[in-house]
Amino acid sequence: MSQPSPNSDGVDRLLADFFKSQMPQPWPSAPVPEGSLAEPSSLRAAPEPRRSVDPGRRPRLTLAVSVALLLGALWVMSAGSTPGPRPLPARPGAGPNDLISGGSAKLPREFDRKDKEEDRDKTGLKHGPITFP
Amino acid sequence: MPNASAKGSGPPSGSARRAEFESLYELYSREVWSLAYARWMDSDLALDVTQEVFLRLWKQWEAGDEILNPRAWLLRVARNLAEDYAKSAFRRYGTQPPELLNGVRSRQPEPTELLEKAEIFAQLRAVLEELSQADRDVLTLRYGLDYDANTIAELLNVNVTAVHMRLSRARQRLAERLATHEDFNPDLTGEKGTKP
Repeated sequence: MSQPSPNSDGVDRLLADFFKSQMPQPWPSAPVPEGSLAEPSSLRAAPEPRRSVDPGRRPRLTLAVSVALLLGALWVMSAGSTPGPRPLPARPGAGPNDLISGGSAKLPREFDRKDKEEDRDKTGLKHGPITFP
Repeated sequence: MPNASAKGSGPPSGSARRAEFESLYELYSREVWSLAYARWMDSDLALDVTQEVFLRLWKQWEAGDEILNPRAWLLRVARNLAEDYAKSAFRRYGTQPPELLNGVRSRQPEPTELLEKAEIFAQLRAVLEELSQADRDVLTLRYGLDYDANTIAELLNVNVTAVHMRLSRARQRLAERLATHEDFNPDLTGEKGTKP
C-alpha cells in the first residue's frame, strides 16, 4: 500500500474539517412529535399529554337532561290535570249518599247497574270504579 | 434490503416507544443528516429533513406499522425527502448564499484565519457540488462521521471495493481541482499562496 502523499493528507484534513464544520454543533435533540404521550426525556421536556375528550359528550348530556325534564313535565302535567272523582255508577241498593255525601243527585238511568251487563255487551267497557295505579 | 413494514401485534407503551424513538435518533440521525446533506450541500436543509424523517417514523408507529429495519427505512425516506424537500424550498426561496451555507455568520469582523478558512471551504464546496451524489455520499460519511469503508458499504448497500474507488477518485479529483485555485493550500496550517 503506497504512502499517502502530503497533498493527500492535506486534502483529507481539509475534507474532515469541512464536513465536521457543516454538522450542527451541538447536535440537536430528537423532535417531539405532536400528541406524544411519552414521559419527558432527559434532553428535552415533552409537552403535556392531551386528554382525549369526547366532543359529543356535552351535547348528549344536554339532550338527555332535556328529555328527562320534558318527560317529567309531561308526567306532572298529566298528574295535575287528572279530573276529580268521577261519579260512580249506581250500585244495587245504592242511595243518594253513595254518590256524594249529603248529595241528593241521582244517576241517569244509563248508569243504572241493572243495565250494566247489557251495556257491557254493547260497549265492551267495564263499568265500575276507576282505579289509578 | 428488508425495508418492509408490517402490522405489529400490539404497540409498546408510550414511554417505551419514546425511549425507542430517542434511541433510534441517537443512533441514526447523523447518518440521515449526512445523506440529506450530500444531496444539496445545505446543512440547515439537511437538519430539516432529518427532523421530518424522524417525525414520519413516529407517525408510522402511530398508524400501527412496525418497521422491521428502521435504519434502512430512515435512510430511504431521507433520500426521498431530500430530493423532494429541497426542490420545493428552492422553488420558493431560491438558493442560499455561500456565506450562510458555511455556517459563518459575520455580524462583526471575523479573524483573518476564519475568513481564509471560509474562503477555502467555499471553494471546496464548489468542487464538491460538481461531484456525483454517490461520491458525495461516500465523502460525507467518511469525513463527516469518520466511518470506515466497510460501514459505508453496508449503509449504502454497495461493494466495499466501490467505496474505496469512489473515495480515491473523489480525493484525487478534489486535489486536482483545488490545486488550480490560486491561494489554495490543502494544509490549512501552511502558508497562503503555496501551490502543492
